[in-house]
Amino acid sequence: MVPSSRVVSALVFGSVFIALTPVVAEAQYLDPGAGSIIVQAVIAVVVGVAATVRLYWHRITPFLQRWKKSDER
Amino acid sequence: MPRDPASYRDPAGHVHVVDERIYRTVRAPGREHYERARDSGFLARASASGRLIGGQEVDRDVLRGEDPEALYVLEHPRLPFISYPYCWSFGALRAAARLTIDLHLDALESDLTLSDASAYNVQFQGARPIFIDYLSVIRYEDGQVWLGYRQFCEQFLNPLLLTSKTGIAFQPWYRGSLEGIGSADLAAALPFRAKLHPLVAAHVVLQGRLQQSMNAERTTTAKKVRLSKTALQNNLRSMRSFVAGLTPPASQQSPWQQYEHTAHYTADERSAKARFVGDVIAAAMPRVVWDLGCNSGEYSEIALQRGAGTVIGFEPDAGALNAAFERASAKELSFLPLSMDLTNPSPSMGWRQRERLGMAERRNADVVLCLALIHHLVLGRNLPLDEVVDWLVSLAPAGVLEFVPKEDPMAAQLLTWKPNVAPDYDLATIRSLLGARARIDREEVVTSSGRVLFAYSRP
Repeated sequence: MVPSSRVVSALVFGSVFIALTPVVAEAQYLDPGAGSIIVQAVIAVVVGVAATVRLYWHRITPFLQRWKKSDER
Repeated sequence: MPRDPASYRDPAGHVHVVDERIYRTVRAPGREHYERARDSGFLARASASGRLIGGQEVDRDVLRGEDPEALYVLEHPRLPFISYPYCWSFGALRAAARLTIDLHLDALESDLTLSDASAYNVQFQGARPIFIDYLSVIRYEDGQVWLGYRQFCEQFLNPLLLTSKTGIAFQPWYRGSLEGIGSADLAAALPFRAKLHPLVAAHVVLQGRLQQSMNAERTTTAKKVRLSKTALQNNLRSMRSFVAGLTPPASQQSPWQQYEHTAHYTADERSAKARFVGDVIAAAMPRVVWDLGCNSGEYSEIALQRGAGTVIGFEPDAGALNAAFERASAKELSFLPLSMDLTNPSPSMGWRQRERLGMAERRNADVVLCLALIHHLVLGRNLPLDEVVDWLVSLAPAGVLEFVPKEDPMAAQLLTWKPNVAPDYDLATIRSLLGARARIDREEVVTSSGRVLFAYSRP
């Protein structure tokens, strides 16, 4: 099953966002580190893109193979 | 004893040790989170799967005098030995890292998350890691980031990367810096090639730089970052597979790892030694055995086969230690090998020097094995023989000591450049020193080179 492109773009680009109010749980006792939060957001985007590419890999590979074959000729 | 000295960070509750029993309080800030984790069935499921330690609610009155503000009191089973990440092998730290992430992913399924990612929240039963902190489990809020990400990097990922990518053992650095290895520090130590890996570039280099260059504006932005649950799960899964793929470096393949396969003993001599050690264990049926200089754990395994409840091994060589942990893992032995230089054992340290206990303070062996070790201490490290025997006898009420004479090829090697060290190191002196401090129950020559085993017990 291939999710629609809308679902995928929501997954990748909607996975990280800046909200108006911060989420601070009252049980939070550890400083998560501001720099570390930004890194998480960066990694979330990269990992999201990689997951999307994997989802569509079976569509990309036949195209690449065709291109490779025509190249060999 | 009141509150455990290591249990002060989280206001949600504390650990208390009363009459050798382990209790955890839940106080007002942790109440709602604990109730949710309990009522969702998560705590029971995680505990049944073996990932989380057991915990039973008991009458609050058991701690009335200790903590009148406790809303709940849980009792946990007592573990055979408390170990710390700076004494774990590479494989143990990696297993603890995976457990932490697996538990976090499980928690998210129940709309719960982990408030931290401390390596000290993991203990070992044999080679199997187990999570011990119930109060780390809190309610998940939509959009929440991975709260313990930085801590996970410092206490799990960075030490593993240090050893895997540079060949430098993480344990001494970790022992000197109890909260782990900072990303900027690790970035300074990694070779350029390692930094080309995109995940190393992000987790180590970028994170280290951002931590060093934070300002008020960036902090305000960071406070508003939200991750979808899918993104948080993706990040956790990515970290899990990255950590699982890290391996110890080739430099940690040492000759000691091969020691038991090399020919210091003939087959007959080997079985005589195994029989001697096994018989002592079978007679004592010890709950806990300490195997000093356990190497790859050959005799630890024999002790378990002959009736020991659990074995804690101590070994300074990284290669032998990794082999021992692999043995314990693969055969599911109740055997935990730890990294330890016995001439400089892990001390009591941390806050008020009571937070992480030293090796002597955690002494709990019923029987101690000191096999093929004493020549390293006395001939190799120049320790006074009488002090070594004192120390050994003080460790446990009974034990097995193997004497390796100066003529033995392994001992002779240590004396190549210092033939005159330890003039009193001989069989008669050892026998009289040991006999003055303990009762010698049995003595047997086990090799043609003159190695002798003593079984002793304190009167």
